[in-house]
Amino acid sequence: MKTQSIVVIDYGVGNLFNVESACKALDLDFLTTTDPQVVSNAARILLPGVGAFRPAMQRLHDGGLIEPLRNFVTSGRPLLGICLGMQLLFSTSEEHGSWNGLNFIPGKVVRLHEGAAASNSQVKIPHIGWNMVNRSPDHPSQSVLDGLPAPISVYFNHSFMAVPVDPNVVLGHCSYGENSVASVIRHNNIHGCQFHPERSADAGLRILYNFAHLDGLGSTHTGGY
Amino acid sequence: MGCCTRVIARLDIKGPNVIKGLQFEGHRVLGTADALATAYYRAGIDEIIYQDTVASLYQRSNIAELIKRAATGIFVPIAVGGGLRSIEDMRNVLRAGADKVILNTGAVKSPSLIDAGAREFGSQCIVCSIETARINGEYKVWVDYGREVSSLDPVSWAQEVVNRGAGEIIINSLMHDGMGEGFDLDIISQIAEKVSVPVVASGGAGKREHCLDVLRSTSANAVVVGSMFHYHYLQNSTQALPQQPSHLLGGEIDQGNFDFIKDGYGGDRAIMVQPTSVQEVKTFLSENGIVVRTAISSPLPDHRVSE
Repeated sequence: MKTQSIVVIDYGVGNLFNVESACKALDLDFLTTTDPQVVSNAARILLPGVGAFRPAMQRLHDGGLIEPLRNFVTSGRPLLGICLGMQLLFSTSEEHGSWNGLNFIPGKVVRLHEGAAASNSQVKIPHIGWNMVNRSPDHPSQSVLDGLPAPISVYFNHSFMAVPVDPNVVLGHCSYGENSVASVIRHNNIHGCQFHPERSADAGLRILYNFAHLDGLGSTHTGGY
Repeated sequence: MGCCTRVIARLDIKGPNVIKGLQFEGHRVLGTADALATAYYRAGIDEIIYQDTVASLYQRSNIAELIKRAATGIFVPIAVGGGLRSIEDMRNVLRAGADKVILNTGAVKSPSLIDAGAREFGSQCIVCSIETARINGEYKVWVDYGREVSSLDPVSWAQEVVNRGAGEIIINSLMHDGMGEGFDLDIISQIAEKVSVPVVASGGAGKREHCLDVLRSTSANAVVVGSMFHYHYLQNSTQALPQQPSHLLGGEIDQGNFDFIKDGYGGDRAIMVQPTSVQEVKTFLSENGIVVRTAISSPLPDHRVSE
């Protein structure tokens, strides 16, 4: 079944090849673009991102993409931010200074805590590897996690994490040392994964599939796949 | 709680093929990289390393095409190393679908390459491989795929690469490579205790107990397996490698590969490697208290099957 067009935003940050490969493997109708006009007209948007927060915001700004993204989100169409792409959705980041984000979701991006050397909860940073994502107790039934068992193992690769003002934004979280990492988030039509669904084998592919089939209000179709 | 411990497959690449040697010498072709990588992905591997074995030696890297092909059907992280000497080299393999780049020779010869790579692509995608072996009783860092020794001490070099921005370290013990006699626990534990980034143990896995040993007696966060998986999946190639054209297992291989394995590397050494599947390793680790990733099976809604 072909779905509506997904627009993958290319703003020169990180590699889009794997996100595109995953979309192809899922037989999704997608388009990668740098064009603000295409972004404005998208049915749904994937915002990937690897690297540092500030240069990424700078590139979105230089590419004239911030206003189209803001308008898109306001219109209620679904957006999925991946890794740094998810962090950019928040108000501010403390990565190498203090920087403004897209501010679609109130909250800030902070560095992971290593933990005390004496405690056995000390962890290495970056957080690289597969970790278990548990669902929040009041997790809604319709989300990108639909149809997946809980917990799921997914692939993380990051040093910073988002801390939403409203804890209900967090649909799935993982423990890493003393950190509770917001791993799957949803704020109305805005979705985010701190991990890399495109690198998380079958579980990750299912998340991308679910996103491609969400309706504008953030719920999935029921039945009829 | 930390991450799941990763079980990583390493493919030593020459042209389109996977090769394997002993102590980085005497390499034989085992099959195509495409076929083995696909088999490992389907078997639930956590990550795959592509190590270009000749790029560093001949100062070229043309592994990008291979990665591009792999990345279209493999949805676990791919790390690529061999002959990466510039930001452009790194960009090439990252654009082809690699998630991480592995630096060794390039970083030893020009340490600022690590800083530049971390600045450009982020620490999370810069991995430093430290190839090490003792010479006159002292551990040293080796370069050029184990052909040349440097003056660097592996432990202080490890600390330096982290300070320069490496996000992960692979410790590759040259004398243990391909031997199947276990990891070099000494140097791995020395380094793993000194650095703040994840450490990957490589070289020497011959049976699943070796993987458990290194995870228990050092603070390594991942194990690399080569021969154990290669031999398992090649021996079971009719199931494991359905896409492997049969002629590739004959014609292009430089000598009768299966006979070669069966005879113990041409008969001059006993093979210590026990062919083992990805699942057998993971189950064994899990039974012994190591947290590993459990893959979920066929999660996509399939409209051909009624739900």
